[in-house]
Amino acid sequence: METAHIVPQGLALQGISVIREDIPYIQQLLNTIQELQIPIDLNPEIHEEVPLVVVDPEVIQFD
Amino acid sequence: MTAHELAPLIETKQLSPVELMENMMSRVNQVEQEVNAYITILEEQALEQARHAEAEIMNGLYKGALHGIPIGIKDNYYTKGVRTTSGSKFFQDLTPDYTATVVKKLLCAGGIMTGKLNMHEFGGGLTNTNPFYGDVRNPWDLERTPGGSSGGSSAALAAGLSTLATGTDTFGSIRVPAALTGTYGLKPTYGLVSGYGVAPLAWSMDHPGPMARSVTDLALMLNHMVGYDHDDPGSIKAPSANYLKNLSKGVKGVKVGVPNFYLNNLDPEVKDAFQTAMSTFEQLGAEVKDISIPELNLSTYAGYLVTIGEGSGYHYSRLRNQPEDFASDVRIFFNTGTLTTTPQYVMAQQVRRALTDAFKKAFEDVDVIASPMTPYPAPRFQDHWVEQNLEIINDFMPFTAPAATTGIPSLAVPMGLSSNGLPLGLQLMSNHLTEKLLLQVGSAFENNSLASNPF
Repeated sequence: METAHIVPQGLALQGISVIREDIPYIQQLLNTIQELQIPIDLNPEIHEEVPLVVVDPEVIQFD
Repeated sequence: MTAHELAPLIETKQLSPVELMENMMSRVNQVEQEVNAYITILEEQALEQARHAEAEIMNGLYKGALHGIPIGIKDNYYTKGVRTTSGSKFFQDLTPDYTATVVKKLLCAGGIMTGKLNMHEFGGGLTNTNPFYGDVRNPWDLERTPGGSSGGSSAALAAGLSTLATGTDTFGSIRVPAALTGTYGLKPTYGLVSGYGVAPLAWSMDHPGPMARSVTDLALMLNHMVGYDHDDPGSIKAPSANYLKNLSKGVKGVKVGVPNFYLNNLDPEVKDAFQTAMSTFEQLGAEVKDISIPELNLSTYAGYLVTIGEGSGYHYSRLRNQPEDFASDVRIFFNTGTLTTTPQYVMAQQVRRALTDAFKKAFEDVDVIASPMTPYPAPRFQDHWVEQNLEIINDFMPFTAPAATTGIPSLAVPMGLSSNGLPLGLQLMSNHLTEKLLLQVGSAFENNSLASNPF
């Protein structure tokens, strides 16, 4: 995925200053994540899983 | 010496806690300048506490095996009245008004805090480069990383600057530094050790845990660190256990599974040492078998998404208002988290459930799963330290993320030295809340492998 423009725009939209030297590394990390997502995309049954969550039993019990 | 070796000497008054602390501080003053394991050294306070411990022991009030033992505390554990920086410029002046539950427990048991240990900023890296407090250096070779983020803890243990230490592990921060310095580290089951008063990296994967110079010392520390804590929403109500109890039970009949996933792209010396370790287990009566867990190749994705997603959430206002005050590598890590999506985060949590189920299934056939802890020994610090941290995270995450994302316990023990004298680490993992078994297996390896204890 081409992320060159996404990084500065995405950060700017959130009010995060863009530090130019960081951009290639952020792009690299996003590309790594995209590559790691390929096996998930090839196994769509994973989307049927209930996501693991931090259950907060005290809140559920007493609130 | 280990705490287990020191304790009987203290109990029988053959060794004074004051003498012990004076020697420890003398060593700190000799070596610390080179290693940089500490952000804050508490020499006067530690000596005062040692005098207090000595008076208690002389009056017959011996508290147990931690009484008078020096313990270094990673600088993301809050300590009342003592600066707690989390390795960050942001918290350079933070002096908490309360103490983390775990630190309270260790100090109540008689442990003496030697100081606050250096770390990778906010736990966001595995090299322990730190532009604000200085890089921690590996005592085995000062030009190399001690691993991170609990690099101050591992370096202090390896250099004899503390007897015990605390660490935290979100995607390897206890186990990687233990492996790269020839020390021992345990990432316990998620929620077994309270995270109250420990600065978060990623709440749902943060694991406080013990680091030490032997498996016995890990068990000793764990005995005093566990327990339900209503102040920590992730804390679990687990049955109490004495983790020291089965350490000498051996591994006869224990089934050790080796997923083929972990045997790719290894440094040849790591591969050889790992095969030797598995042969050692077989000689000790364990059954070593190859297993397959196909879901392992999803764990790095989940490790990244959860760490950078939750981490960027915690630091969001700092990222927006003072980005230049972060170390560059950590800012890159968290800023990436602001650009990943909600569906990706949810998919990561779905992967975590699938991976947990896969581990549960594997543990129907084997008791323990073994792998190298890192694919290569401690690398030299590079000038391009930002890139180096990201590279090492990428290389080590497949080994560290599975136990981190599923919350199963994982133990790092030394498994020998490379030809150039650098420690290599073995990882042992087991089912949730089976730390006793894990420590038993680790102890059998430690006591029967010439490679296990490099000191």
